[in-house]
Amino acid sequence: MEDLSIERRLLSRCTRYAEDEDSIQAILNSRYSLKGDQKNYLSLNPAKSDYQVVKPEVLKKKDKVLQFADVGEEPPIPRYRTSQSGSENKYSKWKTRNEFKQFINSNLKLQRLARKNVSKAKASRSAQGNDLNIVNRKAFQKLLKIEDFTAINKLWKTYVNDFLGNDENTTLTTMGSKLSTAEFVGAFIEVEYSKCISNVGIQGIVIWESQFNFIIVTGRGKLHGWKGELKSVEAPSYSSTEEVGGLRVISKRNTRFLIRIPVPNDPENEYQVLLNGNRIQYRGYERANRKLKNHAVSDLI
Amino acid sequence: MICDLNVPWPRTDYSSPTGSEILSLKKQLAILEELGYTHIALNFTLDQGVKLPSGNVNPIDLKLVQEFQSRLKIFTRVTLIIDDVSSHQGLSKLNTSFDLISVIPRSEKALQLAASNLEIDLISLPFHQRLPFYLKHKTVCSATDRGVLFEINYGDMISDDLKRRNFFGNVKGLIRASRKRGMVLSSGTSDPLSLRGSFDAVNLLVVLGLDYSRAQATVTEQPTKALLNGRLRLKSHKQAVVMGTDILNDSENIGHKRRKVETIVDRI
Repeated sequence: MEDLSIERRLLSRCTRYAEDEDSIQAILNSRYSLKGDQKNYLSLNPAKSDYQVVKPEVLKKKDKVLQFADVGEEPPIPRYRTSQSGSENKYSKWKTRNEFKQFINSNLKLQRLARKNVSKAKASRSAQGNDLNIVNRKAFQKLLKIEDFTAINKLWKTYVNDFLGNDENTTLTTMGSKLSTAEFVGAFIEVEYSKCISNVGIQGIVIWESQFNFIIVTGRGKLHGWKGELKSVEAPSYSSTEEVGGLRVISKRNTRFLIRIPVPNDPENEYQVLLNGNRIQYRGYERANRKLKNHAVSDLI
Repeated sequence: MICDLNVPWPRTDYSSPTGSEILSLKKQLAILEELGYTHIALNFTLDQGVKLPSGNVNPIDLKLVQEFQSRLKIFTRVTLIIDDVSSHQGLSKLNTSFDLISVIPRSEKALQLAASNLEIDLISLPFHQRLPFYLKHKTVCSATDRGVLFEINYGDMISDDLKRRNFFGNVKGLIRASRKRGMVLSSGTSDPLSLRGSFDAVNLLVVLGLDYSRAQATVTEQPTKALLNGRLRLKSHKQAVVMGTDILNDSENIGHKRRKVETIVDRI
């Protein structure tokens, strides 16, 4: 007679006992016995997969000394409470947030270092294409690259199409109100206007939205040649910041962002939508449930 | 940009204008262009009693003045005369058809309502008449804080003694009550001879005690704010998500598509 109990079914689902009817039976027979190494509870072992948790690593001092002895910077000191600091409760709600902050800060710091190197290379006039493409150097492997984030952008494009449900009779009221609650992590945005003029024209993929900032990953200067799309620029030249690319923190205040939304079944066209940064100064998850209001427009001119 | 937000539409009801009326409107636009104005709003005045048609509530046909499209930015505006506070339902129907919405309050209660609650861009007061109420700082500034601006029409007072006398007194009252903030100067006349260049018009307010930069702002910055407010009501969701890329100048329809631009993400 076939045993149809839940225990047998559970065990037959396990990879460890797959197709191994005998050992399942042996375990089931001995499950209530007082002897043996069986346990009176279900023990679950982690399954094997490709997925690995990558922890942000703080740059070690010796790496730098080997590569850039002349710069002589101290390794970044963690400024926030982290899980590594001894008595800290490892389930603290600050843990993820602080590690993220630390990761962003250490990355920005590394970027500044890279920027110095690029400007040095530029000044020495011996700069070849490879010299400027500094992100490929070993010391800067931890800098974020836009290539790694194109996948999340593809994901976002399908998400936003599903979310908006665009079709022929899409109206402003549906599309606009839905977009105001949409997630922008993964979106490709461009700074269309900003009071801070050096920010105008920056394009990149959003990796985080905070209350006052978008954190985006930008392309690298000549390699991606993004200035070619700006009609106002004829012969684009790239500053050392733009050559390094990577993380940029863009304030929402007094800034308009351009978002391009693909039209389903129409690869020729796209919707172009502006976000008024002044009106969305909320955290991403707060924005989802918030009722927005009209205000006096004197800050939008 | 220099704006004149009040060029009256020849009809005050939904009948279509005659050929001669359109011709005089075109003459007026030509003079305004000559005087250096860049942004014009055609104003359709509507009495509270007039019944709105069921279909299109905007009688202004911009195709009639098509030859100005490349030289002037022309917008449509509606002005609702409000006597009775209880029935202002018309506004919600007009909301989505006009670029600008303004009201003429005929009583103090109507002014208070317009200043504090209604979703409008401009409050237009008949300054050439004796106002039936006294302008209070609290009422006026509750409007300007909300982004609703006060409109001064200089056109009517130019040719008439009595109107001029009333105008000077009333506008001084507005300048005092508003603490010199939130005013828009526009012509508001269909008589081409009463139109003035922006410098002349601004000088009028300087005479009335406004300093020059603020007077200048009444034909440049302030009307731009009103236009932006009105356009954002049409083209955005709560001013946060704007459809299209040029808020003031895009004349295309909402939800329109654009030719796709190749970006970095497409190339990688």
